[in-house]
Amino acid sequence: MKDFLTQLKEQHAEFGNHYQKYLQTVQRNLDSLIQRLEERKRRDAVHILHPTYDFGTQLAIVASSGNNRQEKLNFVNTFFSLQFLLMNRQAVDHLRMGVIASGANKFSVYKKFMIDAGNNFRMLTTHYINQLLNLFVDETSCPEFVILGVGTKADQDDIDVGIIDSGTRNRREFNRAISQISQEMLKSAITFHFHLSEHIGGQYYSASVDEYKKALKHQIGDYVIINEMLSGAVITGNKQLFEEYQKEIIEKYFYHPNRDNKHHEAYLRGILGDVNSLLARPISSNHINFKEDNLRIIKNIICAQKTVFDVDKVNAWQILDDLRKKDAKRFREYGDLERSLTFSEVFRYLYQLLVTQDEEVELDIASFKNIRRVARTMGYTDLGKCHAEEHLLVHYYEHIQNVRNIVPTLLKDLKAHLEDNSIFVSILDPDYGANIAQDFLTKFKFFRGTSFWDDILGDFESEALLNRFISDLDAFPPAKRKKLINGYIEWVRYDLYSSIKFLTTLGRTKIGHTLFVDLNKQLLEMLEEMPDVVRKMSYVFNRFPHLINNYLSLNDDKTLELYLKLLETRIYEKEIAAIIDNLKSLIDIHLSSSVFYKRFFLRITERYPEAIQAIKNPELLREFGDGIYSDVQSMPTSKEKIEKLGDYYDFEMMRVGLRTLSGTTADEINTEYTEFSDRYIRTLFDICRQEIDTQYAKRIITDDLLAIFAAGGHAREQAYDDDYDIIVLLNSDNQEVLSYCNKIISKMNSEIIKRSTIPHHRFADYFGRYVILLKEVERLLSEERTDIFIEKSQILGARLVVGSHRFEKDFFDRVIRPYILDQKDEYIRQMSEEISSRHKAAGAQRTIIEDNIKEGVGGLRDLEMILLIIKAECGIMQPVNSKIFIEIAAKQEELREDLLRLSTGFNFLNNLRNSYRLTVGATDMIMSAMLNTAAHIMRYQNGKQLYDEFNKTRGEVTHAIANILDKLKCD
Amino acid sequence: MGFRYEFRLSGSGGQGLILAGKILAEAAAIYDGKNATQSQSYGPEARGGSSRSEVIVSDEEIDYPKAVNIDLLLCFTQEACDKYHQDVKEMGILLVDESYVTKIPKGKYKVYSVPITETAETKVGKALVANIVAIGIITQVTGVISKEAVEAAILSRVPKGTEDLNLKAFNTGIEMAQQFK
Repeated sequence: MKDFLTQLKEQHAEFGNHYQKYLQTVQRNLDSLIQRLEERKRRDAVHILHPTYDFGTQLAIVASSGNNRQEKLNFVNTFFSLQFLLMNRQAVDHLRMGVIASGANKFSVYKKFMIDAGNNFRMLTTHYINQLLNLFVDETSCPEFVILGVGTKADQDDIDVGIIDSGTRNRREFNRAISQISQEMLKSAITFHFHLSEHIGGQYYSASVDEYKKALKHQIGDYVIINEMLSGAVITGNKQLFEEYQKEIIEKYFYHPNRDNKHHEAYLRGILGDVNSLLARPISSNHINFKEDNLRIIKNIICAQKTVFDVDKVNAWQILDDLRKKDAKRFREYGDLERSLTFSEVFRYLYQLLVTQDEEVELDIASFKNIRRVARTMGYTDLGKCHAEEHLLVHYYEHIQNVRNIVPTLLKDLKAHLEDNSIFVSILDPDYGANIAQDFLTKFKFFRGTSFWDDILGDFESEALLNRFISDLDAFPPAKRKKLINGYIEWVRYDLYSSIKFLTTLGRTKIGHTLFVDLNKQLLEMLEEMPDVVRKMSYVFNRFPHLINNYLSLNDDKTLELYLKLLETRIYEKEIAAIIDNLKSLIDIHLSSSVFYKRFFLRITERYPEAIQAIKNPELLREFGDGIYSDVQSMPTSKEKIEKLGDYYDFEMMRVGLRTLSGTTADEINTEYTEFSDRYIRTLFDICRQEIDTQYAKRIITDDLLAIFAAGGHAREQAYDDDYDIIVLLNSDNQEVLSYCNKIISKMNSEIIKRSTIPHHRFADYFGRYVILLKEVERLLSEERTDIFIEKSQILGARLVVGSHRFEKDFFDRVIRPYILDQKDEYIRQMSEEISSRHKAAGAQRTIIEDNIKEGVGGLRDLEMILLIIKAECGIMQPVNSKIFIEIAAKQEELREDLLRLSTGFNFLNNLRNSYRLTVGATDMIMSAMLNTAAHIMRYQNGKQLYDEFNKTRGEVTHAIANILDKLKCD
Repeated sequence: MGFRYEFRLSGSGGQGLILAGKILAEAAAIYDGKNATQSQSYGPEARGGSSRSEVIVSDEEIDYPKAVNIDLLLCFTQEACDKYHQDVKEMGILLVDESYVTKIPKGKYKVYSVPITETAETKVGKALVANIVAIGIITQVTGVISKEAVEAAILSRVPKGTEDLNLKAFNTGIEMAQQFK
């Protein structure tokens, strides 16, 4: 049979390496302990081989069996280590049995396990500490004291304690004794972690109530410590002292109606700021961190609520039980939080027991083996192809998401609580009797270092308050004003988010702009000096991308460039680096994009801020856009449908624009643009028609006799036109149908214009209405006018967007063939003459249109005209775009070289036009000095090189067009 | 008067500095037979999630375990360096990870600016063991705790299956420090 020590080692072989320390302690002293117990005939009074249920009594027997203090100490450490090992072994065995027996509902088992583990550990450590105190502390000469357990209390990496003393006699000796205890524990057993006194008072291990009072009087200080204080429970010592401490110190942090709640408010502003920061922290794909991913968020938020609802419990599960009763409207939220708390705690506890006492777990192969052991202990098994450890991790991430879903609701409640009870409420009133700017800052001093100001920042959105604040600030002489501004900018040091939010509120108002500029300048100066600024920026951007987006939109190019420079730091954490990369791309968009594009970008990112995080992920954006479109029909009213459809258009415009800015060719861009733009028009037509039907209270039958054709740029599938040329045709004389169709188109117009695109109805000025009858077009084209080729070009270039193929055929048979194709010689002659006369006119006013990408010689207009000529000549019905050049080039050997040159030129000019529109403005005038960004997108070295290419291309286009026209004449 | 050496390891949460502190303290107390204390504190997340671990090693009983006259300060963030450099005693050591600390404050101490995280990533294969690389450097530079004791303490603290990786990190730190002049 194996001896006891061998059995003990084997029983604990699955525990982490750190348990070796306890085994070594047992191995070192167990024989002597047994020998002494036997000498004193107390061997049978002490459990050596299995866990004891009377640890206090047995530990006292063990302590008393030593011959001197060192031996007593060795025995106490040994018995503690032994019982600690056996207790954990038993707990793990119980848990394993419990999860097997519980079936699907493991949470009650987990919860019981954690509560029992906490109770057992506290029981063990309380007696252990008492014995150590007996050995080291002379109670007759030491001050009154109480040792509090703080923190989670189930943690086994150390014993979190706070020691309060009476501040009288021999404090130094007492602290010396605690120091000795602490050093002994480090060697043989578990270590102390002195939470409170590290920061308070002159002694290291203990602090008096007066020292607490003094330290917390003028400033909130470290609110993490206050969190620990709020969770304090007596381990051993003078209970009266604890009561005094509770009354004099702890009570201040609880909410008391109709009393001064400054300390309570400051604690909330600190701890909730911490929650906000933790929520802003990106979730890593490489590792998990029990505390930061979940536990600190849960504990901070419930501790904050505990002070609001006057809950005196200190154990997280008990606090949640009380909160469910006292804040019943959030019953469900607290229940969900409890599940995440329980899951995360048990996972962490077992990981620290079985693997290592670390909060952070790298997700690599070695860790997966270790996590698997934890998963199996928690009752997870391999399911199909999903391994137990993967299943556990999936649940872990689900709980992270669960907490992130619930906590904002509780934060909202706490924000409302602050709005009602803040000491700033009386100051932040436009009718306040003194200087708001100065008094706010004075009161703010106590709150320095806290970072939850959402309630106050919300107040500043009131124009009246903002006006009053600014005028109060401006009332001071410049030097004093500057000093106050410096005071405000100090905020940044602790709270970048609130500072940026305040600045954005200022910058978006006319009255706040001057102050915005002043503060923003100082913000930048401070950021340049601030350590770890990149990480801080990444957190704010990760949680509040729309805020950063709005803030960036208020900055000039120089400032944006400074931000880009600031972010040029190597970041090792992949998730932070990815966020910063995204932020830099966002700054690039603000820096490089035209007002024309930014208008769409800001409009849609305001409505869908989540898109900002995906600006570098075109596939995700595409799915997002499709999602918005699929939502359109599920909207309950026409108005909402139209609004959603507008969102779809803007979103797609933003998405396709991003693709242009990243260098996608015009060919691809124009196709994508046309797809969403046509989809928009077709859907808009359907919705507007339904709405008019509702107004008519009946459906007017149009018998496929109505059609909408895109003309101009949209017909040519050209992106980013700022107008929409449109031809609406009706093949019927019925006046009711005509009126009905006009109403639909009128409604469509008022929506299209909201997309920053002006609809131009071709031929509407001839007939005084949007909808033109087919016979009216026939009549118009039969007129003997020298400029009729212009109308013919509109018709020939038109592309059906809404309507039937039957209508398209009628249109071809009645209009295109008889009036254009059958008269093509005349049409081509007129078009050729137009090209020549345009070139002559361009020569006369060279400086005006020379750099016009559309109207200049060899520009897009020339190309469109030659395309229409080819279309007429060859009788092609497809849309006017570069594919025609390729198609005809394949058939006509004689024209091939020139057509291919035109195709290349057409693509280049379209690329340039698109890039220019998105980086400079929606204008056709190309300014060489503004071409650098477009050059970067189009992969030219610089603007000059691109401009040279622009000129060269137009020369080649002009030459090729002349050649083609000559050849057509010969034919 | 007895020998007393004060270490402060500072940076932000997740950089493994608390664990590093525990390893140094246990190495000194359990495996080298010295007296040691270790304390730790986490700052609020909103202030950058600062993390600090202090270890005091002495051949006598340690009455006052607060590090006030620091012999070696390790900084893994600029913020920590700016905050604590004044506490380093004259002729003490300021050891910084140059990946994170770019501005070295002036003082009457010896400065070692070393690519700790970068080395952990490139030579050892994991940035996560930067804390153990740092322990290697500290062990070699100070000579206060024996290499064997630190090795034993590392092995008793790291997860099963990662022992070789951590020892490699530790030895890399030792080798780095051997190159210091």
